Amino acid sequence: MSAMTTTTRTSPPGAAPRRPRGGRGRGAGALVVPALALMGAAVLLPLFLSFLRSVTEPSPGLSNYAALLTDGVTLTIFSRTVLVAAAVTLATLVIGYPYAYLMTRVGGTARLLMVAAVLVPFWTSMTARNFAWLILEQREGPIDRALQTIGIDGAVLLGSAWGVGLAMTQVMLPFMVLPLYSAMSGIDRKLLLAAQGLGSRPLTAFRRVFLPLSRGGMISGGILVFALSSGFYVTPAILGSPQQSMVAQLLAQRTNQLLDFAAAGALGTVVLVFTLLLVSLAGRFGGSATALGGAVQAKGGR
Amino acid sequence: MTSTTATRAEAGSRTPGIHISLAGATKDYGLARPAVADVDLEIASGEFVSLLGPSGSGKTTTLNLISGLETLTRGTVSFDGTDVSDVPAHRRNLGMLFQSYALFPHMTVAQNIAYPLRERKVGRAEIRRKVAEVLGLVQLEGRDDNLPKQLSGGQQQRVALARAIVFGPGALLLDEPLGALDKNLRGALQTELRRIHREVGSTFVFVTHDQEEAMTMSDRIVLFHEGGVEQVGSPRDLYEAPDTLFAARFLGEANTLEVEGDPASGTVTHRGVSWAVPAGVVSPEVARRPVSTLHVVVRPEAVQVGTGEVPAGRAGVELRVRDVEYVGHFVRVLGNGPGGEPLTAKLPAGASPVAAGDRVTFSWDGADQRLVPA
Amino acid sequence: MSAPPQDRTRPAATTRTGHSAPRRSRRPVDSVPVWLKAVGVVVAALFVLPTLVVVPMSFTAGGTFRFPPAELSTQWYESFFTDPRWTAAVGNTVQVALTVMVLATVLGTAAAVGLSRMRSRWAGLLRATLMLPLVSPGIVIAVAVYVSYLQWRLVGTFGGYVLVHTAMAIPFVLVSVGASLGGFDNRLLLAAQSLGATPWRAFRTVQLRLIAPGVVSGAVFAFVTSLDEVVVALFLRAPQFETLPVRMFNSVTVEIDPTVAAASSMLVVLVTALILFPQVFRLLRRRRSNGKAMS
Repeated sequence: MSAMTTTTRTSPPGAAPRRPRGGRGRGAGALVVPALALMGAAVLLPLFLSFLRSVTEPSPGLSNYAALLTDGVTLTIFSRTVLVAAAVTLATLVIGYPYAYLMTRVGGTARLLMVAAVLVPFWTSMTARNFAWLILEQREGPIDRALQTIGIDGAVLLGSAWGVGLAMTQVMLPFMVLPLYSAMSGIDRKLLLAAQGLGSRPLTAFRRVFLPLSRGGMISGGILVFALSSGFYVTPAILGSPQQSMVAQLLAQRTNQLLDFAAAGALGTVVLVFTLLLVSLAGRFGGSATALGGAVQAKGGR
Repeated sequence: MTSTTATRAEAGSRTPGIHISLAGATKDYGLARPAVADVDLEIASGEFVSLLGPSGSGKTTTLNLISGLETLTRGTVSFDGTDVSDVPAHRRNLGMLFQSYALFPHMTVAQNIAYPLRERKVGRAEIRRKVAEVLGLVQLEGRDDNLPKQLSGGQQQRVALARAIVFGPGALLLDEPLGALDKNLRGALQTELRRIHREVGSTFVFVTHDQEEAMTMSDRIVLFHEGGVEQVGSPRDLYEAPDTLFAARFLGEANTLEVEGDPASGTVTHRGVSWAVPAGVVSPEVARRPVSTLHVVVRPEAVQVGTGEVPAGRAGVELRVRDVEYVGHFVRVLGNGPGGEPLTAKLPAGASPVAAGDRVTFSWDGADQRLVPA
Repeated sequence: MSAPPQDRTRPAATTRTGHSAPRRSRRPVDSVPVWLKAVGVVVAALFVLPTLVVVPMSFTAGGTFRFPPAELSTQWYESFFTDPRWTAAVGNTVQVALTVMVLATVLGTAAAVGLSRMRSRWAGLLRATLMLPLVSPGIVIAVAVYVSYLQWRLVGTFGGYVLVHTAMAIPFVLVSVGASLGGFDNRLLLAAQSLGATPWRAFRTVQLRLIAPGVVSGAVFAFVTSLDEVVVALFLRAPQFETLPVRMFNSVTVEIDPTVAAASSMLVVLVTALILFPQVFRLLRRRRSNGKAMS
């Protein structure tokens, strides 16, 4: 709809002698309409209706939003979620940074292998990967046994926020590594040599020159992982527990079990706005959407 | 270390410059041939030396061996007689200039220039004074707080230059620093580099593949070919007395004729035409290396165009003029020698009565030619 | 060796006590430190290894997720290929994914081309709108879609799955087609039309040919997005219609059915092969062209 008005705007009525169609402008809007119509019906309208319910049921107003603050559960779960997401973000950064850096430094064959190592989990079924973590983290599972042999008993990860965090770190790692790698591969290596020529030890040169220049990748990867982690459902649903639940579980529970669609709508709206704000922030530091969908480009290794 | 560099930095921007010597310097990456093989080189204190050669000839690798950005496979690098082969790049105290400028994009102009001073623990006030001084030297006063991307290419390279000399390095190593600039800017910066060399007085080692740039700027040129030094000398030496066919062809235009004969006999023959070769024009390389073929090299401006026989006492060949090109202050007469090789004569404009198709003789004074091995 | 003439200019150096030109075996400047390579190997293992635990799991003879399995069997593979709940789920998933792939690729490519031809400042907003499902948390979409689709009687239907998965796949097509359109010069279309092609023929014979790689990778993305999508699918499931990820999810969380291990193993092997194949292919091709360059 808006696409149509857009195109008519670009060629004002009465002006424009016929110009070849299929070039710029004309007809371009018509190409966008089908996708937009489907998107509207499939996702946008439900999202809007969900928001509408949250401010009209049971009575018009913001009571559902006020309830989020006062029900005593939501805030606790919110802060737990933010804490886990922050921990996962930090962990992926610490683990992903040296890996991404190494990717920029190794030769062709090694780099292809390293890219493949990132892409294999990226493309592997989420359910399968989280199932694998369930096997690893369960009571008497490999991790539990390993901990027992070094004398730590009964530290079962399954069902704890730690277990969720550990698995989520591994699941989210590609989303950190890809933007980091894309930022780092744009840094001119000559700058480090120049710094050494000017008297810096190699490590100082790295700290003063490379690290600040890779900041954009750190920020965009960090925001991306944080946003994804805080709204993530699969891992907490498989590895978490009701006692240690995350926001996504809460949302599912309000919809599925409590059938309180208005309250779920309010919570969903908050989570969505929160995520979109973060993502648009990440976009400022270099295309988060590209980072997400960028696995195709990353496949080339460059 | 810290104390010596601090005193150096305080000594002001005028430094005598170090004497650099390479002995048997070799860099082998394990490829078909070493990148640099057995280079012996002496660069005097305060000298402006160009390392000239086509890409892949080893000039940049040699520069990196001096700077410490590459390690030697064999041989030594010494500064003022002290072996520095094992000294890492960051302790060699050299200034470096790259073609890509290599300015730190996240730092301002002033921060970039202050970088080497901060690494040497120079005091704040002193840093401010030196930054201002060196910005004046490169004529960029008042640009302290600009980011590199706010400057033009030429300005960026000036900042890089300021950064490279501000700490009073023992030598300045320049790796094709003007390669990314357009022609007019290149000329201006060439002049400026010469001026700064005079004012700073340090040793300058300048890598370029542009023979004209090397000729106009350097005290001496080191010509590289396939990983080795082909010839070392002043621009005039290299132009007027090339030692090899490669040197003759790489610097300036050259007419080359493959000839037969024993240099000791004083006569050479080209397709039945013989002429005298004075001992003075025989390259020392002819005696030094096993020579398969000999060539006579004549610069186009040494060629005279006439009609009839080759004048007595001169060397020359007869040919038909293929084309005459008007280049403004001179004209170029083109033809093909008896063996089909292209020959060129450069004549003052107006002094050209010849036209395409004319039968003429190209002749030159025996002393204006050079006999070189291939 | 004589004393250096200028002591001030002398860098801190160890004077070599002189044999002539020894072969030096120093580490090259700016080399990658060994510890960093070690970290790289460990992280690569962290990427790849945990998931592989499903492979030994899938050969258990027991009916639980006890690991390592006490006895081995292939019964869960049999179960996967014979149990109607699993075979139906696979069938449903493939049907949905193929339909989604076609729809999303056509709609997404058209939209990407349209957006690239638009000069208006609304183009950015339109693009952002179409990208929304990519950046929204799946669970938010899932609960909103669930409630609306309940009213629209789309829950548990082929059409419901196709509708929402297509919407979720379009952003991927948009990104990958958009990337290949980035290098496309729209004047080529005018050139083709000036040579007598209709706009449609110009698009088909010029533009589509040039952006084909982006369209293909967009289609692959769309297929995999639908194939792997579990969160929304969980909410849209009905006993008579569920997809493979939903079946797997319930096997893990509710039923404790080791068939999920067999299913996971096959998916892991499949994906790994699909990713490694082009990489290995590229490697071989590079080797070959290098070999040619050397000779």
